[in-house]
Amino acid sequence: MMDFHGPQLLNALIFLPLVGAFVVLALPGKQEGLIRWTSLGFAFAELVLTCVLWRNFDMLRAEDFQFMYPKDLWWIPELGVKYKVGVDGLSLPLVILTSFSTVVAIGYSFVPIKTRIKEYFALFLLLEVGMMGTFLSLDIFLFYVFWEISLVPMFLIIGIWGGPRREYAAIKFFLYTLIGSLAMLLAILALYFTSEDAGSPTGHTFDVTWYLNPRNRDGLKMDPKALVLCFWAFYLAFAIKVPAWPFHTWLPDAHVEAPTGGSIILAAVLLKMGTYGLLRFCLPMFPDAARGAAPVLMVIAIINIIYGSFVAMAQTDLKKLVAYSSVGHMGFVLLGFASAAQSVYNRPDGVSPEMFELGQVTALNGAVFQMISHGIITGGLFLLVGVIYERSHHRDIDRYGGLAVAMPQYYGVTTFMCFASLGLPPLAGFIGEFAALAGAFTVWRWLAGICVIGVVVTAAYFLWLLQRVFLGELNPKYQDYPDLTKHEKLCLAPLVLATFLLGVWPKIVLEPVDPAMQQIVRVMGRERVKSAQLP
Amino acid sequence: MFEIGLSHYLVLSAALFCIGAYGALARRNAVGVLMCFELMLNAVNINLVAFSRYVAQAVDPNLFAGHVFAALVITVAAAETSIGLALIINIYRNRDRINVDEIDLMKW
Amino acid sequence: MNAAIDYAWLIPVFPFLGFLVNVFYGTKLKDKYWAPPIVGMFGSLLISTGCLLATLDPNFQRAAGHRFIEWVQFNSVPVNLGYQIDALAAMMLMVVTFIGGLIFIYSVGYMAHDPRRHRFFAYLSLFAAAMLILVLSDGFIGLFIGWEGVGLCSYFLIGFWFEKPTVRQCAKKAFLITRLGDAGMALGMYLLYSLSGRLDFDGVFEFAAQRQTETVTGLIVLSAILVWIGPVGKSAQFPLHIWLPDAMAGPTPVSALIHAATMVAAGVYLIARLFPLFAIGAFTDGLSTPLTVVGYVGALTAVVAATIGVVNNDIKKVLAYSTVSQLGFMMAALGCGGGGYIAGVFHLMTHAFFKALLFLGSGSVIHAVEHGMHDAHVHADPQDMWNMGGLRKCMKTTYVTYLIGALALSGFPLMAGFWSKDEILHHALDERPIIGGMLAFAAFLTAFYMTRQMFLVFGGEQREFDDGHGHRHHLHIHDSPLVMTVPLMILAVFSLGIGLLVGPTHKFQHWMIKSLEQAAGGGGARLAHHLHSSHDSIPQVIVAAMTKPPYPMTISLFVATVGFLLGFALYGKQQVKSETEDPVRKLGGLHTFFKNLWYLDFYEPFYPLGAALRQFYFTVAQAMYRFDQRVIDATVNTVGITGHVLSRVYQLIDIFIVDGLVNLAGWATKWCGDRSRRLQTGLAQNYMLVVTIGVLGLICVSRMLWAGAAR
Repeated sequence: MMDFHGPQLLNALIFLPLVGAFVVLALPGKQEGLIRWTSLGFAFAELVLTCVLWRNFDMLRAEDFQFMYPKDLWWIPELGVKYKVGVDGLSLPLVILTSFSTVVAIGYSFVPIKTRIKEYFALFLLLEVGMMGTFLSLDIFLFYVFWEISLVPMFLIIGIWGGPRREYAAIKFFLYTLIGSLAMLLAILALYFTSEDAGSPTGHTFDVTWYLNPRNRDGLKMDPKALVLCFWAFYLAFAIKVPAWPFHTWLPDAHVEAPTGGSIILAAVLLKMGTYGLLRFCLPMFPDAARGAAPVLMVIAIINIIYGSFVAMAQTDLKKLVAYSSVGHMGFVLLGFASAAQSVYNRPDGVSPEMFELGQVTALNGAVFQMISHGIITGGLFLLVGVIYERSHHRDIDRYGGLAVAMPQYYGVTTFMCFASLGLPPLAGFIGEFAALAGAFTVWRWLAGICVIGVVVTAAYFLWLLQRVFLGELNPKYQDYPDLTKHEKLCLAPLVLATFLLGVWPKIVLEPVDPAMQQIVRVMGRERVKSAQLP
Repeated sequence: MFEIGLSHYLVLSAALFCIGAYGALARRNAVGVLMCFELMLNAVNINLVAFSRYVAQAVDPNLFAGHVFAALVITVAAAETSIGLALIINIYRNRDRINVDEIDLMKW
Repeated sequence: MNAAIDYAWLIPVFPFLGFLVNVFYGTKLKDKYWAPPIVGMFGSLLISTGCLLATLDPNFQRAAGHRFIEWVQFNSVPVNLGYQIDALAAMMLMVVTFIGGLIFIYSVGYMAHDPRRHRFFAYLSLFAAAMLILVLSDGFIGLFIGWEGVGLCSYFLIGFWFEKPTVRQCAKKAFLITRLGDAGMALGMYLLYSLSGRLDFDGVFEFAAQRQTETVTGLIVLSAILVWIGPVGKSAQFPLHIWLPDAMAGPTPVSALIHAATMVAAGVYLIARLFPLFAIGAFTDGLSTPLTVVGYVGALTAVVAATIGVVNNDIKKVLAYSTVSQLGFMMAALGCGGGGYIAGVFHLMTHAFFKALLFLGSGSVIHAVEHGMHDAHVHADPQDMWNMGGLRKCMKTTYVTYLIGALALSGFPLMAGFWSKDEILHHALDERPIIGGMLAFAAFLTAFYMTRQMFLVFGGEQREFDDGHGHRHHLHIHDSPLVMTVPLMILAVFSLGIGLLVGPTHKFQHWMIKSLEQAAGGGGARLAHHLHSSHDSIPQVIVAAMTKPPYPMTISLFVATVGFLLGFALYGKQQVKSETEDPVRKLGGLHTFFKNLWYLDFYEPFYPLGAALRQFYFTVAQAMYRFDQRVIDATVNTVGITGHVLSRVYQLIDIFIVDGLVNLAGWATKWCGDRSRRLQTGLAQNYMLVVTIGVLGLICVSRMLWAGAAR
């Protein structure tokens, strides 16, 4: 293996899929097999590069940004825009998740996509460019560019290869996210024009590392009230993506109408772009605003969890149910986020400041872990929904029944994934939920306690789902359904393994994450964290 | 003794001009209009010569530009009248009338 | 012996491997499908024995039994996962592996004709693995993993015959209700974590033993009570006991293993494990508040369940309610302080043996009756006791072993149950007389309903059945195969022997208390203060345990005898002809009340409360969905429609206003031209007039403007 120089590795990660997209577009449209395998090849190469990144990542410096360009690389000096990319403990797991999910999604899409294959795969690779760039960029302008890049391919994927209401769903997704992004753009520009960076040719900066450095707080000459507005603008953009209540209604439609591969990547990665933004930008850049907003953020998180579970209970469309379960799971990420936003002066009785901080970091760890585990598990669930949809061409839960007899392997895997999703230890879903709740409990106490209702309701609807679909009388028309094909098993296996592995050994994910989360809390508090060594 | 000076000629010139102007504007017959043009031009001639005789030559006998100008005016008047008459004859041949009020082919 | 402890992590691994093998290769194993799980259990049993022997060593230190690895770090504080072997754990390991192994062997026979039997064994193995993880764990995380794992397996195993709709409902009910308990337990865990930053038991004990402020102590007490909610669900305490009787829908070995011996005991085990935590708290009466709650609820459970068991007609359901009742006994015992701790744990162990025995025995009976009914083409419920009778003649082994189990359960002298129940009653009456009284009553009922059951099932003559053609038959019933009866016999031996081993010799007490003292660690002195209400130190507790005043023993003997006599009088002297003549019916209104589970089953759709709750729950879900669609999404769509409307408006503006302006310019020009051309009259004189006036005007203007100039 060649020894990659860090920044080149990151560049390769961002632009390899772009190259792949062009290659795929250049292929003749009739060569379906070639197109598919080429795109899978590129996705797989991306995954390999990600693993190289992982190997070369210095865990001890996980709270710093690594592999940045040593000297600032100016992209548009007249506008103060740099091309700056880097990875830290927060982005590393997300980058890995992105490449992993793309491989799975592309791999699964071999079978269901039968028309305009070239465009589909090229769009997918383009989407990967956007996603990777979002997680890796360290310049807010660059971040915004990549953020927007990821919108169009998804819009097209939903709009062209989707279900009957695909145009509506695609436009809704696109415009809704765009509105949020525009608010964010305003805030970005506001930040830019009020920042005073001597090192920049224009005197202002878009550099994320500049903004995250507490020493530069005074260089940001913005009225505190304006800062609060900027916080909310950023929050709006990310909240729509997460999706947070009440901006979540695009998600069920987008998921239901999207093709399975699109759903997988939407659930696995695109939602995480929102949560990533919350942790990367909203918290460290606007600590005071965040602290003021903490109760609202907490309430929204609780609503996400409980509301999402209850509404999932009322669903009859399989995909919509999983979509709403996503809303619920993302609530746990929001829980971690809200916990980190809370001020230490509002801590509950009996909790010392060290405990409080421990709680905040734990909650953040849980949030990030939940991001990763939700991506894998819900990606798996959407894949499983796709499996049955390919056979029956409907997603109506009430019309299924007794599938456990006809498709025992499918039953096994789906049960596994459902239980993982409802947070059964020692599978991946448990850790995120647990850490987020434990941390949130330390920070908020009884308000966080309400969330366990959501946990119980989640168990209820998943069990009910399993019961309605798999158990009971076998509906005769499903008798001849083939069980999981080799292709499907191949796509599911990595997800299943990952779910189990992460659940048993969460250190894999959390090792780089913990220092980065400590860093966030530190940056917010503007002082060094005291490590909570208890007697 | 009552001296005839510049002002008498100027008055005469003005009077003739005004009569000519009135006639040119108010007469119905085209030939009459032409005659009034002549009148106006001659009035101007009188004016020019008067000024030349009484003003310029009082200073220097060699300044007789007014006289020259008057000669020029006579020439131009003659040319213009002949063309005008030619036009009128043509109109008469076509219409048997030369009433200016009826010549309005260039009306909007 | 320490080697055994080093390898103790293998104890759950073996059954887990058995699970994996059966899941992926089950169908290929064909007849030997039972091999991987049973071999796995055997391996676990070996290591568990090693651990037990290690702990029996008088010099065994708690720290020697503790192994852990760093699992994850939060804020650079490590969260460890590991196992802790001490007396309690070792005892429980033996119970699980030994009884579990016997039940596995039994299941080979019981499930021999089931098409999915390799799956069954897979689930059994997974369950064993989870249960062992639960037992071994040294902290809340491992405990929770095992806890949820056994809940999951319980769901699968209860719902094993999922073709029947009731079975599915029962499995779901079990899982959801235990999950409700788990939610409470999770809250307790989080509360403890938020206060102490620790998730391992030793850390929590250390924290609890330190000097704390009033608020913190109150919170610790609260957390203990919250944690207790988990066992309320798992060990079927009132009011979350409602799932256990329905769990009988699963195959009998499942009932034996999970719902008698192990899983339901997990709750009791947890409280015992966490005893140093529970013993902290309000000191007014020398016993702490969490233990008070545990004790009273336990006693209540014991009584309520016993009353329901009295009026039930299903052989397994009687045993199920009996289990609930006995679990109540154990919890009540734990709630009575240090002596009660020993008694409760002891009862846990003995109960596991004879309850498993009873369930397996009932399975044997049901198996035989079912075959008999099948052969005679009779369609009746093989589990209804009123369809049985006289089985002592045709199922000798089952009868004898069952009898031993029933006697043990009722507290017949010298049987295992006697010693443990006796201990419980002693300590209960000592510490909390009210609890003692309730337990005594429950003990009386226990003896009664077991006697009733014995006589109904085994006593009298076999009943006759109408096969639909007017003939009345006896069923042809024979005893079960060896693979089923041998475990019964082994369990019976233990039911007899365990009591003797432990009861009079007090070695058990000594062993347990020492372990408990070590567990309490730094708080040992404070704990000792709480262990005995008369403020004795540890050795004195043991002495007190050894020299028992005669009256508790008399009481337990008395209530058992009364119960037995009453049962004999009502059922033994003469066989009761049919259910309608059941003497218990003479209780009238009480009978109905008990039969309907005191109207407390809030899950069932049949009971008003359950139906209402269920309806409410679904209504809420539907309402929220409709809100989501009609309010939130409508708002979004309204925004979209507004966009459309606005764009139409803009279009109109564009057409009429913007473009209009352009058109206006053209129109204005035309208008001016229209008006101006009227000047062209075509009349020369007009033009001349205009010229004249213009010239005059110009002259005037110029004279005015440049009046003084150029002169």
